[in-house]
Amino acid sequence: MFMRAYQDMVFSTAARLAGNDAQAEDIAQDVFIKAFENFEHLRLSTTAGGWLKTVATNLSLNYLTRYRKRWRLFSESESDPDVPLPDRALDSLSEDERRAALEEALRRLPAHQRVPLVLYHFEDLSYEDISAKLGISLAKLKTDIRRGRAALAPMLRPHDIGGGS
Amino acid sequence: MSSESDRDEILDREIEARLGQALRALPERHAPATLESRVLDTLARRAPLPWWRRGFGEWPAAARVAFGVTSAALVVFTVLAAAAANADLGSLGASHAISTPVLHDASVFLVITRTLSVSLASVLSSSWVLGYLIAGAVLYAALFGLAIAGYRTLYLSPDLEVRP
Repeated sequence: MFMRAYQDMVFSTAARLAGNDAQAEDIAQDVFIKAFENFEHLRLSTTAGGWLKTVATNLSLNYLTRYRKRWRLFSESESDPDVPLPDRALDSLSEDERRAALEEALRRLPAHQRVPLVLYHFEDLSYEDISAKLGISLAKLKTDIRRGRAALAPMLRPHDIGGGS
Repeated sequence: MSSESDRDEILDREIEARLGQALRALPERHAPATLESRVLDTLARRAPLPWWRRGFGEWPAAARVAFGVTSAALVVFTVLAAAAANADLGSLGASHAISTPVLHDASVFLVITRTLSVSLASVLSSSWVLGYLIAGAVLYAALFGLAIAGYRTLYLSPDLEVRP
């Protein structure tokens, strides 16, 4: 019951950060094992959801940290891939299809853009906190986030940007 | 020029706001159906392990105390037994005046244990015993802290460790 209440949230957090569903499932499993070890405390806690989200975030970042050297190398040298747009015009997509396309576009972003974007928009962390957490400079972080947003911006409906023109 | 950069900044902020809104509106992903069974299987595999096969930190408190007391008693017993054997074998060698390989090896052992027991006795009888204990504890803690710091620096980012 406890697990069913939170498993989607935990999996979503891990999947968006790791960008890989198989890895996200492993991370989610580890999160719930840790939850089990702390179950006496969590069972009565009103902040169990927040605890699980924090652990999921930190375990996902630990996973990414293992590949940090490679990640940094890519971050410096990798050209930003184009995020594929849906075949049909965005306005013709249903709301569900548009959301699925945005989720997919987010997943396809390179890790050095996706992770800061997720931490900023989903976890509500400040630029300073993200910069410290990821061990990168504030300037680089802002550049990565700006590029990530630029890559995702075409996924927004045209009338969402530019005052409806 | 400045109005152009102002426009860019306004556009950036607008994209940030709209994208943030769109991202936060995304529904949660559905966890795979296999997740629950994987967690339960892992927990089931762990559960049958008796406490003595788990890490020392997971032992019951009474077992940890008993282990500590037993270990300390064993050390004391070993030292005392070695000292007693030292005295017995020493008198045996002196009274029979024999020199066999066994007694030669034993004499080396005797010298070592005698030295250790005499040193231990002098330490225990001195008023510096508390100082030695404190210094030992501080050195142990320093070494422990150094090892943790090294591990975290080399293998983990301290900011990324799991905290509730």
